[in-house]
Amino acid sequence: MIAMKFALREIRFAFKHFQIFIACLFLGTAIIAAVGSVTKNISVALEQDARKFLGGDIEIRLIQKELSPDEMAYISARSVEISRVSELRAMAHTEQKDDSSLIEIRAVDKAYPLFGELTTTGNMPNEQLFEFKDGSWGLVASDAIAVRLNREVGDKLNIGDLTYQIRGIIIVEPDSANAGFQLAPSVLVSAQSMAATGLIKEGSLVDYKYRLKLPENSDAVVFTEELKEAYPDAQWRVRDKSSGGGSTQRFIDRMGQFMSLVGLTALLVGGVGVSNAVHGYLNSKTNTIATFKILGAKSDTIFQIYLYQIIFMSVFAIILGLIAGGSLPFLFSDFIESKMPIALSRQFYAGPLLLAAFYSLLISLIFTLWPLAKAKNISARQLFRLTISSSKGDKIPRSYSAVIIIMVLTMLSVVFYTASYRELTGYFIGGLAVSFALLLSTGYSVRKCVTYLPRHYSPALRIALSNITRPGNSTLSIILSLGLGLILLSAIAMVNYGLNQEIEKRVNIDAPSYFFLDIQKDDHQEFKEFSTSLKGTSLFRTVPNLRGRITHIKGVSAADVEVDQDVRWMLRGDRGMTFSDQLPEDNKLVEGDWWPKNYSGVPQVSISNDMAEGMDLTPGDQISVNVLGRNMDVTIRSVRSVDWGGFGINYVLMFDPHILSAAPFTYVGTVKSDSANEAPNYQAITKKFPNVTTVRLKEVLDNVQILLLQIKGAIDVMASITIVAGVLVLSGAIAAGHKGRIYDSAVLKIVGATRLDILKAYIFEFIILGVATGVVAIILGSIAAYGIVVGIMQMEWVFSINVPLLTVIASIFLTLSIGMVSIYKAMSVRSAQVLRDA
Amino acid sequence: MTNNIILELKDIHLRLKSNDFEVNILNGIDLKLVEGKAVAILGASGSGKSSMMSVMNGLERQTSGSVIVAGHTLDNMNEDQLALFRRDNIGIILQAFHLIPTMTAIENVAVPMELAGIKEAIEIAKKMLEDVGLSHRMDHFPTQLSGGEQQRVAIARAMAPHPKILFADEPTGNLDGKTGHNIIDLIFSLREKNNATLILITHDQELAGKCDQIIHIEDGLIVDAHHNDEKAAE
Repeated sequence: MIAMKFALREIRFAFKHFQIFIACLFLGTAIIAAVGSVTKNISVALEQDARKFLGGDIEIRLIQKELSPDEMAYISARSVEISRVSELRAMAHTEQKDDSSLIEIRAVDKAYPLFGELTTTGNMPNEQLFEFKDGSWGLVASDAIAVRLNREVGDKLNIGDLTYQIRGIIIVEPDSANAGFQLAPSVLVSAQSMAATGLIKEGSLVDYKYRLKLPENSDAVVFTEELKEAYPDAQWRVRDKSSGGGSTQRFIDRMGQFMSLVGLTALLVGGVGVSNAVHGYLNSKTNTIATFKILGAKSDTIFQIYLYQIIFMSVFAIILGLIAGGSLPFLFSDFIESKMPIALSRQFYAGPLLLAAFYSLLISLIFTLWPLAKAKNISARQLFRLTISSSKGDKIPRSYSAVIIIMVLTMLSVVFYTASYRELTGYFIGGLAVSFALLLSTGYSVRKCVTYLPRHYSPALRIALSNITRPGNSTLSIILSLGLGLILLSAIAMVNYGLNQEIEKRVNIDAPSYFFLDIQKDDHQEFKEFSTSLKGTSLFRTVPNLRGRITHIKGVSAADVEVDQDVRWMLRGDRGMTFSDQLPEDNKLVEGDWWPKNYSGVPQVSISNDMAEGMDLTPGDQISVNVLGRNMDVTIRSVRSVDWGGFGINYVLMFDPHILSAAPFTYVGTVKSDSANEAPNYQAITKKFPNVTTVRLKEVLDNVQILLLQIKGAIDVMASITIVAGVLVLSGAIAAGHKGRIYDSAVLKIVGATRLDILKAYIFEFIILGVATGVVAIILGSIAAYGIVVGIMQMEWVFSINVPLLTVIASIFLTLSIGMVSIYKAMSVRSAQVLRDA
Repeated sequence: MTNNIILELKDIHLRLKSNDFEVNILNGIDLKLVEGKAVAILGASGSGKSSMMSVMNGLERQTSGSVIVAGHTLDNMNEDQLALFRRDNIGIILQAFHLIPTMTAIENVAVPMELAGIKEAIEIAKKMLEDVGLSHRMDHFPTQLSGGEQQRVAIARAMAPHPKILFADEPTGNLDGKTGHNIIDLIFSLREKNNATLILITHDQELAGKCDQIIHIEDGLIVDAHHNDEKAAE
């Protein structure tokens, strides 16, 4: 314990040496703790309110059909209460029919909601919100639709054949977290009124959701299994409250995962700062360590003395970080709750905090073990400053390298084990490791290359180049500290640029202005004639649309068949299907051939090439489908390549016409309008065909853009934190060289250098380092962005000079502005004082 | 006093390498020192006297030759073994004091005893500081002490473990004349009290005259080693 005793004595004066160390660890710990705590608080809230978000203990979802009487009887016998919600997209028109908007209608019954409360500004019981009164049915609308159509409570809206009165604006819709991304704002109406709108016809795309309240102590999983046993071929999708958070939970998990990885990046950058701080501290302790050795301290005792100090400082910084990070859910709870319909538990959760502490402590040890090992080898003779030879001490045993490697592997293992999305994590960590290694190599290369440069006649430049390579230089630290953050930011900027360019390109080239859903067969011809007669319209196209599901692949049930993960979605639930006697213009045959006109042989289907590849299907193979309750075995005739990234109407399954043309179906369609007539044409079509659901691409893109901007904003904030960590480390690195700069300036002044000469030298030094960092950040950021844009998003790579230019400028700006503090002090120094103190 | 040999150097060579060249510091030193004596080492700057002292006290490893101190052969000891040897056998007083700046005077003095696991280290340190006249400065940090006071603390630290040999490398080099004299008096009085062998590097002829033996070193070789007859006569 003698080492602990000495460590505590030393620590009394150590804090000033550990400011950057503490700041770096604090920041990294706080971020990881904050992300983990917020995610956990939200997840717990979603879990606790799972029944509320799902709308019940169990949800049974069917598309385009309701439960049969037998099925209804089965679930009624086993449930305490059942609530049915029907959902479809439709158009809401103002009473004067001078404006309209796409809406998501949710028709609810008297039992709704089974859990939670529907809160509106109507300030009346639910029955009164929806009842038929004063000549109108009632509805409640989301604030977005009220704003969009400039309506208030009391105003009327026409939906289908009915006129509704707005009786309230939705404040809390208890099961909205379940809904995920919605194409349009929602309105709630009574199920009773829905039938009278005329919107529900054969073939209409209606979702029927049955929410069940089970008896107390029932097991939802057991119920689901028994239901499957009782109805093995049922065409429904069943969820229990474990998926109550639904897409919201998935979104939270994904964002939390990404933000944790960014937090780890900041911690890694902080590790560089930790290493620099410890190096600096131990360098300042050379005489003390040598004195200890003279007085009889063994190397291990020296190691322990300083290890204890580092652990103490680490724990101190980590505790501060945990308090700050763990407090975030409390500080921002109101903000979070305003964005999501949840009540945060507002608690400290040990798991995320322990994980943050674990990562931070490991990072601290990984980055300090080596300098500690070197310090313990400081020889007592170093007190005598032998000018002839500098003793390097004994070689550091390989066991230290082994311990560092074990700690790194341990950390990576925990990162992967706790990751929700391991593939994303793998790519991120891999990219981080490569970036770190390449930045390190860049630092070494810059130092090496500079030595080969000719000794320039300009003294300022010569001094700058010498500073880059001098013993104790900050070159590596500067490049590492800024480099990681800049790589992240430039990669994000380039991906964002590429995404925007891709959307813009597709919209400009081939995007329709409107998508139409639920065009009834009877209205089809009139619709076509009317739409194409409007001024400025073109590219009219309609295709038949039905819903069905794939039940078997080559005789194997869809639930059991093994297919690639990225096509599994095709086997889940009902999918859109169509039929055509011609190959669509924007599809290409890659295998097989097309059926001839008026074909009436064995039922055949053409599938998309991603389905063929993912399910190992070729022409001649058989699949089974269920369309509107009718099972069919169909033979694959051909495989088509489909451009899913365009705005055309594309289908995975396209049948020969003779099978489905007699089935109940509706049409979906597209029309392109020139921009001058886009709005008036939209009004004309929706007025003429109020029951046709019209989606304006412009509005959808605006909503997507807003969402992307919000996500990007959050990502940018997190990535910027990496820059903050980098700035901290950079400050420490520049401060470490400060003493040397002051001495150099004093000597330069003695030999006649002006302050301008000194300033030029340091500006050159920081510009060179800033440019080197910026260039490597651009290269690595571009590679990462290319991988994401081309490899993952499968879009075309578009290069913009702005991002690289801004990256380099940012790099130079940061390096210079932080360096200026040190430069200013160095220029102001009085030579006599410095030499006296030396 | 006995005539036991406390320290022996046999054909000591010391060569140090830099990146581009090699320097011969000691070129064949042979020396035997008797226990309990005070020995002065004189020589010009760069003559090798500090290096010879470093070889004697295990701070520097000779290139060839053998070093035997207080019955211990230092030749094949590793760094940790040398540290333990120093802890248990010798005390070192340096020109620049080299106190540990983050420890108080009493803590500085206690360090070697604490390293040796002596439980009464603080009590012994306290007594030692009283002996050197610093009982009123025990809880002061080095930056709060004058040069003379710092050197007294260093002396106390060196003497507290009752070393067999005391090495002093220009102990008054950073002190003014009067303070330096006081320090020398203190060193000598404590040495006699503890019957320690003293090996002292100095430029001061008068100080050398206080020692039992005077060794002149020049260009890494002992050019003269004689007993101080005047002192013996006293």
